[in-house]
Amino acid sequence: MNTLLQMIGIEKSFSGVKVLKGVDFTVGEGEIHGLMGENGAGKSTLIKILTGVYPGNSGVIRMNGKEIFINSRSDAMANGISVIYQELSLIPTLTVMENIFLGQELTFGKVFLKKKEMHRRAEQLIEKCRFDIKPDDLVETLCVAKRQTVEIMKSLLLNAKLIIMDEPTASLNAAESENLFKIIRNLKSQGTSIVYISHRLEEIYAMVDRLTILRDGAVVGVLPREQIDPVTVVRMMIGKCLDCAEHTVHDAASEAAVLEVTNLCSETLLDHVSFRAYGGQILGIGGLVGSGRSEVLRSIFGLDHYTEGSIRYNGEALPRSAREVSRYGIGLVPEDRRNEGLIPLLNIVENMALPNYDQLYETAFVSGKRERQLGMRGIESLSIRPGDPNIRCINLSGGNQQKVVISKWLQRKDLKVLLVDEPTAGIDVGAKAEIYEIMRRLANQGCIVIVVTSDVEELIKIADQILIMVDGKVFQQMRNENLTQDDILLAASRIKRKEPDHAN
Amino acid sequence: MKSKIDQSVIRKLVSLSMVVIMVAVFSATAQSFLTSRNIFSVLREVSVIGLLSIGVTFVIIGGGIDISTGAIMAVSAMICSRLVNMTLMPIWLIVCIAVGAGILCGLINGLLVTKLKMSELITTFATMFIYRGIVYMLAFRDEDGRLITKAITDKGFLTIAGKWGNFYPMTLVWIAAVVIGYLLLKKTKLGTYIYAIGTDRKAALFSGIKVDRIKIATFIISGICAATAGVLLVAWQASVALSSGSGMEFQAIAAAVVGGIALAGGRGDTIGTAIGSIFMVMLINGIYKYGLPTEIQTITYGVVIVIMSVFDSIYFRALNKRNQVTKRAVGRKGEAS
Ligand SMILES: Nc1ncnc2c1ncn2[C@@H]1O[C@H](COP(=O)(O)OP(=O)(O)OP(=O)(O)O)[C@@H](O)[C@H]1O
Ligand SMILES: [Mg+2]
Repeated sequence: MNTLLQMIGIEKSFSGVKVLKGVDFTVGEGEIHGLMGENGAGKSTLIKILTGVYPGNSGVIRMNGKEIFINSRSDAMANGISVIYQELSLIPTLTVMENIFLGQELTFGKVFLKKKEMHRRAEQLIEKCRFDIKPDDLVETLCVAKRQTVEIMKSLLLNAKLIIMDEPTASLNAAESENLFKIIRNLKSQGTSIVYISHRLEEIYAMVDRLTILRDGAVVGVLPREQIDPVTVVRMMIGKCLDCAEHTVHDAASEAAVLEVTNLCSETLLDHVSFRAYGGQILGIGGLVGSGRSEVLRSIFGLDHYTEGSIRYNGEALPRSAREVSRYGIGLVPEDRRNEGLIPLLNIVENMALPNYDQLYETAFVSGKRERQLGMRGIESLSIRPGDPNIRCINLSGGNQQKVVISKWLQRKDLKVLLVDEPTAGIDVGAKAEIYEIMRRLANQGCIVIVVTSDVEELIKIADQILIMVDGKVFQQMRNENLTQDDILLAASRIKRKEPDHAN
Repeated sequence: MKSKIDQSVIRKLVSLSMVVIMVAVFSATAQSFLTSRNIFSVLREVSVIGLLSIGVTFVIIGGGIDISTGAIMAVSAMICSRLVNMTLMPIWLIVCIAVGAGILCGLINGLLVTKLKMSELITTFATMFIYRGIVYMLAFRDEDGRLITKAITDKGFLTIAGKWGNFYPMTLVWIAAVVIGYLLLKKTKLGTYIYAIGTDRKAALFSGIKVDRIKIATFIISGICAATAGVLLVAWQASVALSSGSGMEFQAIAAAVVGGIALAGGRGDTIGTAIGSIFMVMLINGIYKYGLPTEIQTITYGVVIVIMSVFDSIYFRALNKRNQVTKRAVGRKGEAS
């Protein structure tokens, strides 16, 4: 295999802190090259240097053996490097065609658009990739998976030799991911190289030809396909072995706290949803995206309006405003953490303190010392990196931002109910284990934990009771005993295999 | 799934029907309203506010705001009045100089916003005063240094405003601006880029668009439109008041908002703005006909802006909600670890 890209001795510091320490990274022609590492290991930073978002402090980049200098995104494009970022870079108010051609329009005399020609080319491209979209669709009307295909087409149009994908499946479901893999293999067969960043080990095993593993800004290994196995990879990534403890189902004690949801209906989606969650247990809610899982959590937290039904904690009806509900000791980690969970320009401590200010008063003023202590506790409990409490959240890596949001609710001492929506999307294996452990610890302290997750394995691993929702209704409630992933997937597509189990 | 065309057409029908309702109300109550004379005089007024509004439309679609347009208009008008009265320059040259001043003002706005990274609102708020100051500097004074207004008597220049029967040809300038503006937005690269930077600046940057240049271009377009409006205004009224155009920048923005230009950027086009401008001018004109006091007029602007903004936010939220029914199939199998 010929070498396409060589990055040698790449270094990068942000305000004095080295986040890349002499990274060597090579990608072959027509190779799918995996890139893994813990949250904050420096994956996105490496890619951003390659694509001209940041300048590197030192190091050499070669394409086909020739040294190149990349100072902007257009330099990268000119060298055949294109990237699909963690956060998409499409313009929602423009059409698919306009987006594909954005920055590289076909024009008469550099001014007027050749709309017909562009339309035709876009159609050809869509056909060639067998995507299910039309050139005139407005991007804002497309779902995330389709938006991604638009991004891919944008790269293809540039005749990119190297396409970089930073956690492309983070917001895709199984079917959509499968489809993406097909596209990627198709690209490979046409000689395009792919750099594939992901926290999902199974994808890496299935797809990549080689895998580079980063830890703390340095390469700890490059594995060829044959040597990629879960234990080795995890050990290299986090420097220790994870023990997968057997799952045991915890039953609720008879005097346990209970959250009772009865006949919850909302204008748009929820249809007589009823269930009970008990202290000491983790209730997992599975089902399709759009089946009303997040709405249930949001209704409990007082964010969404419900038209009928009641929500009671130990027999007492909960107020219907988020402010009062959170005073009650109920916390919500929302799905869209970047927009709903964080104030990006505030630092870690301030973000963590936000829902906890009622505990930070000392006389009339907030105690800075206590605020800081709380922040440090939060950082330690989920090993957020870098552990500097004064860093602004916008400068944290994607995964670490998520940890901050989760951590801020975990700091509440009087937490009675924790509602978590997709707790581990974009979070590395090590931190996942920590989050599971924390949720279990909370449950053991008598707290009610309700988790919505699309990751079926996660559901089986952590939940004691599993609730499957379909089209705004509770389809099935099961005790998590001897359940397999198939049981869940079947239930989510409306097929019952096990008898419903209400014994509790 | 709604196509792009449907959405914007529906939005235009809404503002158009507001115009129609208003026409109905006014013509039912005021007899002189539906005469060709009145209609043409409304259109003449529309062309001045309408031009300002077309200009600010570009800035707003590009994600910014420009409140210096009224002052730029006054600068251009004052330059015309000075040059016509004091020199023998040919008219075309005078017009070019006035429009050139508009370009310069727009360029200054654009440079301040992009190079000094000032906010659009603050920048144009500041330059609004600066440009207004220039108007005072250029104004005529008597021997004692007191400010005076001086009417233009040059027939040649005044024909710019002209009159063909009951029709005022300066309306055509506005119509041309609407059409050219529409083509610019929809058929050129620049237009696509203006929507792009107004919707998502960062994504536009990542697509290799020179965001700063496009932003500057929107301010220059706004400057050109405002200056052209100034030329028409002075040719029409034959003299410039020192305060001329002040307050008009907000009417222009209001017209754009009524026409469906989302203040958040990235949406709308000049046809919408044109409808909005007609609405605003009729509102002013109609209120005047009823003899209602000015305070009612100003309050009405405010109320209309609020209503239309609320309408847009509800409308777009509803659209998004419907689009969000993107039921993603089965959950994913977790990774084996
Ligand atoms: N603009 C910035 N300013 C300061 N520090 C930054 C900036 N961008 C990244 N960092 C720091 O650099 C380190 C590496 O971040 P990077 O985003 O590359 O991680 P990552 O490997 O992509 O992680 P994740 O899996 O969570 O996305 C982190 O510690 C982060 O806080
Ligand atoms: Mg990252």
